[in-house]
Amino acid sequence: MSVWNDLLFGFSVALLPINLLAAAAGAVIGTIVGVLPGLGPAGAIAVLLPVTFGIDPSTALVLLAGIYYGSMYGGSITSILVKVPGEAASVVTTLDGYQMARQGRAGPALAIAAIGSWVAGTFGVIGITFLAPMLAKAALTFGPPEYLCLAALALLMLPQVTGGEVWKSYALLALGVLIASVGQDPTGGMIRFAPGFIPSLRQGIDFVPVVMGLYGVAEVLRTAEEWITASGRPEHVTSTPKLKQLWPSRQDLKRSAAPIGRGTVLGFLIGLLPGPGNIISTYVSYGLEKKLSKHPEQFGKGAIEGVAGPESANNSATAGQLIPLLALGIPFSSITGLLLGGIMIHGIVPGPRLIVDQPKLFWGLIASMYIGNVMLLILNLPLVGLFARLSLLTPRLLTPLVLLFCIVGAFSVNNSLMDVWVLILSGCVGYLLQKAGYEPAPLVLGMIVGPMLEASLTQTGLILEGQWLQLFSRPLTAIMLALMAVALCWPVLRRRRMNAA
Amino acid sequence: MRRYDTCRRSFALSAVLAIAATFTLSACSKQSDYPNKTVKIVVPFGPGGPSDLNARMIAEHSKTEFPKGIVVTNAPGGSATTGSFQVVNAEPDGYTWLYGGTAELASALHYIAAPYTRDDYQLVLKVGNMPTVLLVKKDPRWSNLKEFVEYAKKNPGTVKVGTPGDASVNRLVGEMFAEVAGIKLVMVPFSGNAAVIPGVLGGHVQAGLLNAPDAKAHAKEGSDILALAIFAKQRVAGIPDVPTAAEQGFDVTGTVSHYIAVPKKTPKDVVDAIHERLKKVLADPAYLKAEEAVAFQVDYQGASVARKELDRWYEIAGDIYKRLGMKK
Repeated sequence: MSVWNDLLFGFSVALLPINLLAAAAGAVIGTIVGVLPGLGPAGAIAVLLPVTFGIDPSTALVLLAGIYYGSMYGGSITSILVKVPGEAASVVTTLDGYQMARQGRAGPALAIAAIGSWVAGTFGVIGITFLAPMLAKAALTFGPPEYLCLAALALLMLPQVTGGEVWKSYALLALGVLIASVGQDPTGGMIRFAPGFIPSLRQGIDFVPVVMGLYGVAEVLRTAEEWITASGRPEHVTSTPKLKQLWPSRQDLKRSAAPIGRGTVLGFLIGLLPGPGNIISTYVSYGLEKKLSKHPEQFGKGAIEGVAGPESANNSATAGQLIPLLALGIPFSSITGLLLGGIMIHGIVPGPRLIVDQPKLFWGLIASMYIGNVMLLILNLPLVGLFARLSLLTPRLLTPLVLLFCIVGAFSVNNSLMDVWVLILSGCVGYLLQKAGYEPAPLVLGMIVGPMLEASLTQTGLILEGQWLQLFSRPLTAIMLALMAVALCWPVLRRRRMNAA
Repeated sequence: MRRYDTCRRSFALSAVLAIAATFTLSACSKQSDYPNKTVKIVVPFGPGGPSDLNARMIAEHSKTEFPKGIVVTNAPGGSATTGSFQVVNAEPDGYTWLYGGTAELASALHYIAAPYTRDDYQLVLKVGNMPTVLLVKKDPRWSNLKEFVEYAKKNPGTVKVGTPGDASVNRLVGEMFAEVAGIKLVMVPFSGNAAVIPGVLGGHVQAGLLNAPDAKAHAKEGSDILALAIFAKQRVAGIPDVPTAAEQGFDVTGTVSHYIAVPKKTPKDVVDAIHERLKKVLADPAYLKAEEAVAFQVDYQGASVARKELDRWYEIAGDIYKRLGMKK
């Protein structure tokens, strides 16, 4: 099969010392960037873009892509250890991962996250290898009407699964959508909610500082409160975890196998669609695992499926997102937009013929992704013990560091002090929300999906010429509308069934 | 006493001389030592986009003219007004430039309450153009612009054209074209140039209005996308197979252009120094070749010609925005 020839050619490129070095550098930088709250892959790629100017384009892409999928490995580490997501795609991991850490099971959580990430990352690359052009064409059948229904479906279904009382989740979702509407509207027509006396609001409220604030700064504040009110000794794990607890038990592995598989497939498919697929796939995977689990009440209290599924999903989603970029030259998210820029800076204009015209770039990248994923597994697994012990660091040391990284990270998003204010405000809000028993994950979801919904609504109205009933005649949207109806009726049906039983 | 008086006098004299010398020297350093620091170009967009890439290309090719180097910073947000405002407020010492486009320097001011006006900055020169291109998915119904217009005439209101945004320059050019051709097109706004392509390829919209660089990327041979026309006076070297609208009977031109601007109070001699050196960079064959590869039309124009162009576009855009009901 010619694919094997191409792949072998790719390995011959990827195994060149310079490209191995680039893959390793990407893996390390990506992990670090993923671990540090606030600084995400977008920031790191943006900073390194100019540096790659003088390097060979394949090497440059290997490095930049390595940072991207590497950060999906690293992001889970702080999520699990200190409930601070390293970046937005690890928010969902905080739900169960942190609980596992509090139970002294940080080791298994980290290990499963790493293993799931590796499995998903590798399968994702296999998916690219064999299916890229075909999948890219299929992704094109998704147009504004389909996105509209997808966004609506996500907004309807996902708050039901992120834990906490459902009405609280919907309230936060609505708040998130509202916050995201500050600034420029998604189709670039006008600026909203930016009164003259606060001109900085014109640039909108970026979701990265909000996520860092809601989780990171809020946790800092909560830890500080604990310290002030209690005797000053943290109520975390009081003893060094025994070595046995550093690795997942056989039962852990058995329970994680299916979620990893499902997360892989789900993440890959979601990554194919426009939008921040790596973030959205984590929510969807978490929801799916909770619904399919025999013990849904364990979710939110340390169910390992809640870590295995989402962590796999965000890794295969990065592979999925690369497909439209490489097979069609279309970036479907801001990070892939940066990667596109990184390629264009070398005078290569990605388009539908990239795979054919630039085999060294494409196959070299694919081959190096296999290698990169292995490197990341080797990097992350042995360090599980070290990282797990980090969770025992006294808050006196850890908390100011986390706060510092959040502030620097928030500023680095847009070089704007406004984002730091947003961070601090979100931190206060997040702290109060937690006190009131709200889980902030739906707020983030609302901020991300809200603009998608609005843009699709405008576009769909124009495309369908106001004939909204056509949504029922298009196959994909009809299916999604049916799912929405199910999602709406589900809580009612379930309660009726529970009352009847 | 007399010795004291002499001392004081000579001290006063030397003090005056010293101060005078310092002032003269610093004035001299402004004129003859420019550039003696690193220059910062502010791009009011995120990294990876056309403004960002073009600014970086300038920085990359400026090693001889600007020995201390040029650094590109991104300051996105507010429809590019945030970054523009940063430069407007910056120290007018010639070391902070704005890599600004037509929208943020002129036409966007119609619908955004920006914290600056067209009088708050000085143009140094125009860098170049990215003329608007009309693209379609290959379709038996239209193989050239005339057939496209014919179809639109027979089926008014059914032809949907994707644009990078409701207020984008490309959309305005599309409206101008629709008026000249006497057809009614439905403008569907997407979030940026890149998002239009999947809409066209998937058949969700029939056509798209994009910048020349994006058009070149996607309208290659072997792809499903065909570039029907480019709205420029003449064919653009980087994308020579696309006929102009004028060639096909529709005299419409429109482009997003890029300019270098500095704060208003920047002294004339500094501005001239920047102009002289930058002009040489824009003539560098390596730079020209790099830009042609991405279909960016380098089109050096001096400050006064650039200003006239911007003012003219500001008027035209104002009329269209008013007609569309988008003026603030």
